[in-house]
Amino acid sequence: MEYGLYIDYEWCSGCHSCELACKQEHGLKTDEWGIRVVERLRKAKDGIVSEYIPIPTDLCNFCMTRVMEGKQPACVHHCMTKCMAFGPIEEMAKLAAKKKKTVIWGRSYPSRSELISATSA
Amino acid sequence: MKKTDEPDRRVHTVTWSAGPGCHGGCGVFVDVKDGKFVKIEGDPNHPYNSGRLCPRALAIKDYIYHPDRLQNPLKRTGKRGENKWEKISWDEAYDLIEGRMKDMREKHGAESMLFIQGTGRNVGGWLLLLGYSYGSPNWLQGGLTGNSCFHPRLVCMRMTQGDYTVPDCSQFSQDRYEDPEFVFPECCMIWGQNPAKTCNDGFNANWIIDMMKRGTKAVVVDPVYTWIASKATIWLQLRPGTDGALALGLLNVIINEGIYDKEFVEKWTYGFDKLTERVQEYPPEKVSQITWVPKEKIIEAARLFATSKPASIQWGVPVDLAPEGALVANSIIHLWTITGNIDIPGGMAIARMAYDVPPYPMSQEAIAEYYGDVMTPEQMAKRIGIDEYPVAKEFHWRAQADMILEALLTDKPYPLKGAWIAGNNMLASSANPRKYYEALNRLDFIVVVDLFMNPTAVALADVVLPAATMAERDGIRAWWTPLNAMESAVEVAGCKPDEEICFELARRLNPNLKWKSLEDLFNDFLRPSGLNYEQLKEKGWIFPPKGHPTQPYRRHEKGLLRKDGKPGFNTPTGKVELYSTHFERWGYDPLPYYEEPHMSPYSTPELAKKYPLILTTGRRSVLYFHSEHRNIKPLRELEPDPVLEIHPDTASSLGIEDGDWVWVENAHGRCKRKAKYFHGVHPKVVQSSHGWWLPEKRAEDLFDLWEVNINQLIPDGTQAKCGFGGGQYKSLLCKVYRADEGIEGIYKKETL
Repeated sequence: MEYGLYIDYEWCSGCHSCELACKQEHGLKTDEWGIRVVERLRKAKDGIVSEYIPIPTDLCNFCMTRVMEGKQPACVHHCMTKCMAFGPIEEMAKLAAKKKKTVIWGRSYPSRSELISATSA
Repeated sequence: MKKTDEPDRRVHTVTWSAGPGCHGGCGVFVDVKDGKFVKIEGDPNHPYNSGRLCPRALAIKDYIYHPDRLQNPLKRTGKRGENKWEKISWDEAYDLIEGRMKDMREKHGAESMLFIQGTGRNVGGWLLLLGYSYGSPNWLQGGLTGNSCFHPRLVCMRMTQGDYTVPDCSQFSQDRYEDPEFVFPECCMIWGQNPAKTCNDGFNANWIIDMMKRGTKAVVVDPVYTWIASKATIWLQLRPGTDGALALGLLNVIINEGIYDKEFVEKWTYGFDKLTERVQEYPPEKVSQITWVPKEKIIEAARLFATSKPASIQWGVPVDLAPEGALVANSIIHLWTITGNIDIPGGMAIARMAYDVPPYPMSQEAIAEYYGDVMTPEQMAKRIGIDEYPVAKEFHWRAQADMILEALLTDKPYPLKGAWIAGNNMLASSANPRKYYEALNRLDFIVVVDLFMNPTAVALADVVLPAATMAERDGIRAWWTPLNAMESAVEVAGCKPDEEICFELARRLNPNLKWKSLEDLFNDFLRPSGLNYEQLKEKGWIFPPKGHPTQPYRRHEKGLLRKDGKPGFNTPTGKVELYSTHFERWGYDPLPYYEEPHMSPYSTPELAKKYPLILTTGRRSVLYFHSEHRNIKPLRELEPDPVLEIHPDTASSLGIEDGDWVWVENAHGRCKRKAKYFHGVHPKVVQSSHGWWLPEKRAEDLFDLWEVNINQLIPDGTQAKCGFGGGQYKSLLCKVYRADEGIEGIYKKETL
């Protein structure tokens, strides 16, 4: 099954909650991150200002265990401005099509039932 | 209290206290395995945070099990500052403290002991219990000139409109934005607050962002072009410290253009004519010259705010910290008042503690009701600052911080002998910290209660008590709403919550204490809710029913605000007082006016030649709460250095490269910072974060406090005339120049 991590970066405030939520969820060490908030400058109406986009790293597994339990990935769950969403990639694509400044990080994984059988094996 | 002993469990609680460290009350689940903390997760159903959590809450495991956490009471063995301690048991610590405090009370009177909290977490209420049980009225937020953190705004709201108000973001309803009674504000003015970085005072700032995402327009008042400012319809870039002039200028436009709410003004306000007359002194042209905000923008913002209904104002601590902060607060209250936004859906909701339950009491009335028989009126009358400041006497409930500093140094009105300092790293956070160091060092006995060793504990403490995080506490929280139970999830050996420490000593120091146990006290406090602590724990949190006096809306029309049950506001005139009858009675100007910062290019032009840049301190970081969290690796990793944000043009004219170490200096002192190029500040303004000390450095050197503490540049004694507001944290003058070297041994980032 294909999933998407949708980010509406118009509203990402760079709060770092996704990074810390991920670290806690996966017990990552100081120098390990499952997602990183990247900051860049943009020219806005009244001046130059920071804009942020979270990017999953190689350590991101889309929180398979949580998803299997019917939960959101830890980053999505804790996002302070609620600018992240997670789901089947078609649904995420529909969200993205309606909104400027969005991005989807996609990945293919076994379906939930396949995951359950894989984990229990 | 009943303890669950199951080694594996999921506990529901709220985050009020050490850990995240803030004033918030986010609902969380804490997962425990084998009696150990495993994970924290935001509760999606909790109305305060709807599942989300900040990075400080999410890093709490590193905080709870940090190797440097204090886990024993410590008794000083060397000289103050030598960092030599003997580990003692809790019983020994209690006995020692009880003995010293009783001795002091006998020789010098209970009032000679200070009970000092930092910012308003759940330490305050328990400190009040301890202080009053001992018999001292001198409970305060130490080091804070003009009591300038929310308290100027609090006392002004009480004086002017009889009650506190907060922007209504639907937080009074479990259904939140779906509540059919709630209306999204058309406009929210965000005044000196950065919702992307920090929540303040019982308010989750993300609610503002939620509302903006759903269409609420924002006017942002901030010297800095922040992320939130870039999302605003209008950004007003004012010169730091000129908030008072801007507020009066906005009032001028709204009144003179007749775009205020005439019906509300007629029916519910007092002194509109006099305010009208006063604001004529602040036409937009003049206000523009003072504030550096273009005249057109002032007019445009006034029109947008006044013609939006409902509209609200979310304000931050720079309001208090402006010169004559109380008057700035009043001017802003007048803005939401004359536009008729009080206690309407989406406006400024009148905020009371849910069910009036007072774990952190915020009025003399609440204190009298719950602690009234703990202390005699004669002792109450010894509260320092009430003779100088009638506002403190009639509308406040703590000692006035500047008068305490005076008393420490002069022994007037009476000598002070001891202090209990809980959750306040004063040497890192007070204005003029070296003076506080000298002043506090005169005391015979100082107890510091904290979670980690810090510069204040090393420099001044005689006894250090190890406190607990939010995950280790039972308690209740109602600031403002809902009413929550806190339940401890884990224990960390040797650490105790302030609730327990303060209660145990209160019991020892006052044998007649009316509560027999902490649970007995919780149950007594919870009486108005109809639940006891165990029942509240079952439910997690509750809201008072609609129609309850602690629930909105339009309570002034329904007679729910005044003791006499009449419609109107809880003020002498029964109306919102645009012309303050209290200020008039005390001989102060009853109307707001503008006061220039004590140090500025206009008030001290000669000084400005030597120190040409305006320095605004206290820039918030979402990773740190004031002076905390620099030792929490995953947080420090993201902001390793104390930085000075400087406009690239200014920096290059001074030969400063991005990332250079610099000295920031003025006539009062200097400190080191790492320069960071930042386009969001005016070229004549530099901005810096506060609260820095370096936990990675030697305790004997006070963790390099004096190298990095920017408060050394802040003078004391700049409080407002009425004792509330002022303090020069936000509008200083300084010069910036390259430092020959950085700071050896400062934490280095491990990764990109």
